[in-house]
Amino acid sequence: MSQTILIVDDEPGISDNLAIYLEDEGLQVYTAQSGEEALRRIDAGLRIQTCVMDLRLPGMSGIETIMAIHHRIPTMRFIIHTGSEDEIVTTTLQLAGVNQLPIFRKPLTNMATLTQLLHTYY
Amino acid sequence: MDNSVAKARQAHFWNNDPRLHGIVDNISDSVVCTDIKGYIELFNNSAEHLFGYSTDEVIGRHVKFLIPTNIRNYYSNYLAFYKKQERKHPIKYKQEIKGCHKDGTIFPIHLTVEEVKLSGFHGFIGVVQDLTGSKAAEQLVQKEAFIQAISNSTTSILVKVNYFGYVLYGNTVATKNYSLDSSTGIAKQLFTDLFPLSNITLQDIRQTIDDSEPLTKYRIPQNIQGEIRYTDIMILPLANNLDEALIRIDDVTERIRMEEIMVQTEKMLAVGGLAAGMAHEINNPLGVIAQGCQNLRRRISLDLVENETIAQHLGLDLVKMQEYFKRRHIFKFLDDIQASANRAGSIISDMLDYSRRGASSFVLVRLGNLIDMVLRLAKHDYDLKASYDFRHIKVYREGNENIEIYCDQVAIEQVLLNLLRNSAQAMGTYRQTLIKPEITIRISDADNFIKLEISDNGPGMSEEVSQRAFEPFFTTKPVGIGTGLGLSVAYFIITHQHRGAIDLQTTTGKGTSFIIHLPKNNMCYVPNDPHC
Repeated sequence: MSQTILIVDDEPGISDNLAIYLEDEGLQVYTAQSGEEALRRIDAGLRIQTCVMDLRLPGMSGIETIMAIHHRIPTMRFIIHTGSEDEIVTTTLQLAGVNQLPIFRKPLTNMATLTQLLHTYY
Repeated sequence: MDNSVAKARQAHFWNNDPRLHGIVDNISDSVVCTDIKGYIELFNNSAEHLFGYSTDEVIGRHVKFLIPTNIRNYYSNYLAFYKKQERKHPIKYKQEIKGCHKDGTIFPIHLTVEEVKLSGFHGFIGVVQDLTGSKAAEQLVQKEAFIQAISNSTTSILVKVNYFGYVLYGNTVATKNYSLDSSTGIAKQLFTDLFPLSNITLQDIRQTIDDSEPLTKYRIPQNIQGEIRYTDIMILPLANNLDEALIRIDDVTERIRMEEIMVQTEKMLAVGGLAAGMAHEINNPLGVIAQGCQNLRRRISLDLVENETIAQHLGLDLVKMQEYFKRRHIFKFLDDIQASANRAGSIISDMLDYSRRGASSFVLVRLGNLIDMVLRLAKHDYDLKASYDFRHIKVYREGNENIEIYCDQVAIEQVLLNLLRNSAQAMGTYRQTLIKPEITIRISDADNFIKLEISDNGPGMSEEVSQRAFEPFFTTKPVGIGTGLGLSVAYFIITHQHRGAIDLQTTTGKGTSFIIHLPKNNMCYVPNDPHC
């Protein structure tokens, strides 16, 4: 079964490039430009297993989005993809019960590292 | 001077005027007159009574025997100096000193000395009052005790000197740190001998007293208990008409160290603060560049089935297209774009190291373990462009690796890795086939510090380079190698975060040593980072 992934990033250049790379790897990828959009699509029945989440987003922050999705789908896996240095993120989320939070830093110069991780999930 | 000559002179001056004789003998204060060299010419009744000598015994003798031996030098020096002086310093002083009785008893006196030039007499007239048992004497004792207590409770070194540079008094800090003996040392030790590094000359002391203006010298290095400390030295004229001065020496080493660190870190903090704000904005476009390159490369490759499918559909020969890209250097352009994005990314990441510091915690680390870890990291760290391979470098380890120290382990590892990388890169580009590249990591104990030396036998640095080595963005490496931040990050971590010191010694053609001093007592220290 092919893995489905949602990339949440307000920078289309990032989400598009990541989506294209993962699609070329044979994964099914959706993108959302904000946390609100991501929640809307999930609530509309979008079935995904993994969220690649930017942290600084307009409107809902990445952390708020993760917590909202985690509340709806506790089995959802999250991968953080960020250009900032918010060290408190992991602790905040772990306190909320979200474990296993790999962080990928922008610029992600080799996207193969991300797919390697995704392959370990299946 | 011959006794009889003096007596003749005394007779001439003294006995020729019976009225003067009568007056002087009958005043209650003791009067002692000497010639210009200090030989006694007149000794009145009261003086005979006070000092226990008869006039006959003292006439023609030098006046110094009336002063206790331990302060005698002071006065004979004064006299000697007075005579040599070109511009006569007024010797009109009132003071409370000690007199010495014939039987050896020492008692407090009040002395007024004036130089007098009369017809037939040129000398000094001294008027002495006995203070024994007087209220003045008791007050004096109390006052002295009070002043001593004050001077002993300060952390500054306080030394009282006379016009000739002789030490009259030193407070506890002074006697503890210098071979200054406060009991017997009075007026026997020259300030300039006791404090040879003070940069204070006898001329300075005299000028201060003559002008009644304080004189300060800044940042004078001193050897205090085997350690070089920086001091500010101030000469303060004492307003007591005694031609004395107080010399105050303050240890300002800490302050100077802080100032140096502030100058260096100010630049770095500016970089760090800027970086934190910019990182997000810059990392996004960098990500687009790097990821775009990776996708582009893959979608023109022969690796993806989809590529073949679409090319076939269009009647395009992918192999020929690849050949075209090779001949037109398209792949090289791609390489360059990707490498530049990587480089920009690592510059941002290095800059963020500044802003990340501060919330770190200090843990007890065994130095051997730390070095193991760093060498493991170094072996994985290679840079094709810098053409070095750490595995070709012989690493020697010296000293007691069981020493444990409180530090931010990750930060210190980063420092050592930066230094090793620096050495390796320097030696990688240093083509001298006869010398096998070597790095020595040496641990030693230095009082309150642990000393860590990382030495290589590489090309060394020029003076200009070594002076700027710790400066942010200063690099000697070709464009594309290094960010110019490695050593300044190391400087920041060692001096700011760990309150240690980092220095380098280098000889062109021989090699470079980085010397780190880490304080042993960093346990309770929480770095005060302005970004927290």
